[in-house]
Amino acid sequence: MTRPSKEAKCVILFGAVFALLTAGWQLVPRSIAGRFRPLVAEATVPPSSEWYLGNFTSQVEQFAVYDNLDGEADALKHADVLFVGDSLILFALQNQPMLQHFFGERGMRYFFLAFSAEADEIFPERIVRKFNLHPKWVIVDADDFFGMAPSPAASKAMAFGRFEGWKHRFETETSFTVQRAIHRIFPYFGMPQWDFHPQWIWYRSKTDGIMWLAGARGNAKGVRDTPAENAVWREARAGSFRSGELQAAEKFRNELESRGVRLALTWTPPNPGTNAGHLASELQVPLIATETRGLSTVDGKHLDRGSSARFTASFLAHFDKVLGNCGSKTNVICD
Amino acid sequence: MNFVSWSFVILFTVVMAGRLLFGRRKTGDAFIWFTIVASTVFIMWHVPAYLGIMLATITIDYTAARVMDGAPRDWPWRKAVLGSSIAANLLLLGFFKYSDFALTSVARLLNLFGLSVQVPRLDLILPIGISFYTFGSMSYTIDVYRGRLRAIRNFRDFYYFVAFFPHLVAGPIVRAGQFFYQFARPRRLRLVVFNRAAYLIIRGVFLKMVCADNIARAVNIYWNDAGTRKCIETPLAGAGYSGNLILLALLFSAQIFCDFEGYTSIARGLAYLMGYRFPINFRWPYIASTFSDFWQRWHITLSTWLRDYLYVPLCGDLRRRIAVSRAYVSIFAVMLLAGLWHGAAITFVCWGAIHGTALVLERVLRMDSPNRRAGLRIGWFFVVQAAAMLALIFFRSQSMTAALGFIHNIADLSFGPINAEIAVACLFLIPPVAMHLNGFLEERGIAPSMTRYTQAALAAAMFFGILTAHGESTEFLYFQF
Repeated sequence: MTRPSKEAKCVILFGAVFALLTAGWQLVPRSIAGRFRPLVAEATVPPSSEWYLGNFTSQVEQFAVYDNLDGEADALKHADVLFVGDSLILFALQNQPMLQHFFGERGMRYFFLAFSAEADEIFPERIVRKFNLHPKWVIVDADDFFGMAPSPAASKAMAFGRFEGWKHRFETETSFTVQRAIHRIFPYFGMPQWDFHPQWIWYRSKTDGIMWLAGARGNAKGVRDTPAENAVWREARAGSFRSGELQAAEKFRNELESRGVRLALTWTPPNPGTNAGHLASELQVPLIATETRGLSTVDGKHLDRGSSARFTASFLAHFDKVLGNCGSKTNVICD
Repeated sequence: MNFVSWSFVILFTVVMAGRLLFGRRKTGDAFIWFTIVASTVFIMWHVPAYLGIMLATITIDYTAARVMDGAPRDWPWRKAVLGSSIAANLLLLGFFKYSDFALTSVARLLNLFGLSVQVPRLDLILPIGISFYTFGSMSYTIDVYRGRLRAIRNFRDFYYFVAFFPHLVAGPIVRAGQFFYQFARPRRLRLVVFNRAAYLIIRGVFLKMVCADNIARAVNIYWNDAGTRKCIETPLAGAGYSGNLILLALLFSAQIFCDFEGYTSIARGLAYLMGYRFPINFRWPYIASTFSDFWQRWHITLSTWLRDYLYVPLCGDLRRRIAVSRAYVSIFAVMLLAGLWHGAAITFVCWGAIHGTALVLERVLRMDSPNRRAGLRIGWFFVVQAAAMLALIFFRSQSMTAALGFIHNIADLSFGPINAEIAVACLFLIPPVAMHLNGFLEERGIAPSMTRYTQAALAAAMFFGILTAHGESTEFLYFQF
């Protein structure tokens, strides 16, 4: 029998050291090993193919909608109500059955044109133009929204073509699948396991754009109660807008008006609503002012499932009033 | 295409299948065409239309070299042909890289004279790797002009050299002379080659995904606020913000090293699997004891390129004595251009100016002399490393205001508890520090060079590290250049 060469011995040594490290970890008590499971290993997977992976370490959702990767544009075109905002509104209105029931009763369809880290009107406006959308209502989560820059993901989606979206989704979905498989066996010691920043993994519906939270980590906190209806924006200081905020909001409203679309503003806790209230008054558009007490968040910023259900109920009740007031009017000022 | 991406894993698996099936000698026509197709897919993966820009560069330089090579040495138009080729290359590079910078600079200048001018931004997408392949291709025409190389007759071979995917995007800047002597040499894929290449690739991926990406998480979160009042006021930065900021600058120094050296190491490993040796690009830069030593260790292929194709022509014939002042001006100009090569921003120019000033100062003070006392040499080492770190603050910051704010906040000398997140990120400094320490000991003959067995064991540990401590993968920093 021939002896293995020096190089073959190196390969054997590589395998032996790697096997030793892997086996060594298996001997670590479960109570300790359990602390080193990354979020991806704990994330749940939605039951049907109606959902696509929207956010995992980077955002796919901007590309999916802008590049119409799964036919989202068809759902968008048929929507009567578009929800615009960032991750706050996605968490606040994540109860699909409640929304479906409410809009179904009124013969309306909705779509979430809201994206993670997308607190700006430029990207949704580009989508409205790109697909020539004519919904009846656009509801914007307007606290710290207008006049901001698009997110890197949105900028990339707008600058590059559909191919970029397809590549981005392929990379994210493959990483998700591979990492889930790897971390069934191997622990995770990377920075996200140690630091204090919220982490999320979520899916998005291809038909209504709603978020399906697959996993979230962060320090759960309560939300300071929002004051009584409309009180907040009455207290708002005049002239407290950021530079260019009001102009951006007016431009967005005018774009929608030219399409016969009505704009309404709202805010989501824990934001105080001051900004949204004051903007609604300046723009002369309805404000959907919710009043909910005792809400709590998953990470100090985003509402948890229970709070989301309560918030959604309050939001829909107020939106119903706005619909009632404005339903037959051609004027967008309907209070 | 990013080396640390699944699409690249698929592409390279296909390339290796080709190497094993019909490219065993790596010199056969079939494998060369196959690699050309793979390289073309690699570049078109970014923006397909930008293949045209690379083709334009290749065609211009190929034609210029053929014309110069075919003409007698005293042909009066030789210089004009070279000049046209260089001008065309720089025009393409300048258009994509510096248009917005030039337009806004002109607008600012006019505003200074009271003329209110609004210039629209072009916001062009930078063709991937343009700075690297342009320099590689330009070096070829200059070498042909200087008579150091014969022009390549076959367009396909020249395309193969420029577009060869392991060095296409972020270097190392491989010159034609370093590539073409290997072109016709058969190199079989034996186990020794595989092991060496696998070590380089695993080491590169480890540096990138474990060290650079994990450090990047802390750096990206805190850097933008580091030059503002917010840094002082937010509870995370806390009362001891100066110490945290020094650590943040240190973290970025490690991040950029791990990111770029990681990329180079992967590129060298991939090229080795395909039968080519690439030059090294880094040699433990953070143990450099002088500024000139630093530039012999940091981005070596760029610094030698700048020396041979910019510094030497600026100084004239180095065999003759040249005026000291001319050498100093040349050094400073070269470093400014090195800064500008990285990107169209005043912060990069400032980075170059710091290094240029430091190199000149070092020569004036003769601090690079080996005859200096040990204490002085050790003291100068700290000056070199502090200046390199200071320059990197400008390199990383979005604006001069942000960079100066960062330095101002450090200068407050407010020390206190270290931010927990920054402290955790510092754990990922251990591998690059250990690598530098080992490099230091090896260079001085204190520690023996790593044996193959040590490399195999280390590779296994690093592979385990990649699986268990990978960061959230981001693009390589040098992709933007």
